[in-house]
Amino acid sequence: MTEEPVIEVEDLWLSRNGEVILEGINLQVFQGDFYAIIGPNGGGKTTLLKVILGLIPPDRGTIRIMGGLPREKRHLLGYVPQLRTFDFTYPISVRGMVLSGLLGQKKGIIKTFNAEDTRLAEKALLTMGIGHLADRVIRDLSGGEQQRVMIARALVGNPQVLLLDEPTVFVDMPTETQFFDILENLARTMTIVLVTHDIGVIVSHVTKVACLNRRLYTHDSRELTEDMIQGAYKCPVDIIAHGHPHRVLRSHRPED
Amino acid sequence: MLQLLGYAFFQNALIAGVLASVACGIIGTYVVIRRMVAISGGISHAAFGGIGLGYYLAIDPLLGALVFTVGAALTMGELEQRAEQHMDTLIGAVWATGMALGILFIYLTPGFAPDLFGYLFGNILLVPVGDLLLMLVLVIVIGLTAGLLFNEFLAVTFDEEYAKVINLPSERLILILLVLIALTVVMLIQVVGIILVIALLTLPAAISRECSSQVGTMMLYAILLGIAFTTTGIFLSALLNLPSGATIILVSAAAYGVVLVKKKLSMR
Repeated sequence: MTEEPVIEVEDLWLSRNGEVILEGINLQVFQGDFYAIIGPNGGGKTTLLKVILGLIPPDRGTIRIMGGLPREKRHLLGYVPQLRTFDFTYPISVRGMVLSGLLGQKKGIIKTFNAEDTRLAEKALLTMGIGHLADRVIRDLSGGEQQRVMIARALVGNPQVLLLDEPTVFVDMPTETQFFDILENLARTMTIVLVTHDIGVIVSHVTKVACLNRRLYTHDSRELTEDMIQGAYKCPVDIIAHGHPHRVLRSHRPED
Repeated sequence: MLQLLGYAFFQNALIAGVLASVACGIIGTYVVIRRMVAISGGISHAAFGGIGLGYYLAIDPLLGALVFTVGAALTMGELEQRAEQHMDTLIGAVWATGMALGILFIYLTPGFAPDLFGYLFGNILLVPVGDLLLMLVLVIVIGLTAGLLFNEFLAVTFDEEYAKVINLPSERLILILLVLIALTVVMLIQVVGIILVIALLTLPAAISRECSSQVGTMMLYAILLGIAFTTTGIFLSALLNLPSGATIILVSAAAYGVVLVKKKLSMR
């Protein structure tokens, strides 16, 4: 018997104002995958995540999360939205923001947090290496710290899958390495799907790669083939130029 | 000056100011942090239609205003979610339609419309005791709802999309919040009038935002500031014989200006 994918997208089409944004997307994410979807800005990465989360209804196609509809099962996914879409001037503490990630699991109209919730929030913050920031106000944090708080908010509900949208936009290089160490640790216990336009960041960490630019080019391995990149970016991209030690491009075949 | 406190009308005005400030502090905080100032303006101007209807049907104009503000709030909220229209456009439509209906109803009402000016620009010194009771009921409804749904409102005003993902009923919560704004607007019509409502709704909260790091404390400071502004405004208007609504707003705006300038200077 084959394993059931945790996220399955089948023949997904979406257009907005007459323009096709996602074209015949097929995607299967399995338990334990550390899946990177790369592609240029405007290639539909964020939109794809939102369709998976049931926030945008597709024109055609089916999406299943652990075998169920997105609306029924999306709370099992930990969603980390793009940092720049966010109002960080909102008066809320780091702890308060992380706690809000637990609200969906509370029954009844009056939802309050108890000591166990606070403990879970502390744990999520410690996992992200920012336990010391719990009482700070989010607007006083750096971009990288804010990014980690958003991931902590997604982690606090103990999701099976983590969906990250451009998690490294505001993270500088030294923190980026640290950041990926944390993600790599998380990847041992949960499935991670990450979308980014920055090819360099994914190199040594992920187990699977796909390229998205309206269409999705998959390969089901961590190898990024030139066909995929060319399909997505419409031009050859030198992905070794980001200063990372690992190459993800296969060596060129003789017929190239 | 203390003599004024002996008059029943003056005491009523002060009580009305306090009641309005409590509602303003709670709801104004959400209006400011979720950037709903324009929608509040739309709701309050739509109230003019209800005032007109009240005159036309010869019922309490505030009752008409209550129906129209709640109706406008629900219409805008529903349309934003269903009709895929920009909120901006909807606000403009509801704003002007409400005013137009009010003008039409008042035109159709035989005779003269008394107190019309009071509803437009407020006259807190003439608040009847019956309206104080209505205000008290509204404050209790607003306070209880906001208290019970505190964490949910926090989540949807902070990050509505995320609230949806964790399966909070975010559309319904936003509609409830809009209705609370409508109720607050009705209370404020007595104090500063339809046209000036958004200023009292937003200025205390905007100032308190500068010095609060939590939504709860922001509400508390906004309530205290509101009480200070309305009380100062009421005293000034009575002493100098100025229109009360405009005086309250100018006091609030002056305080906001001082805070902004101070902030600018301290950043240098």
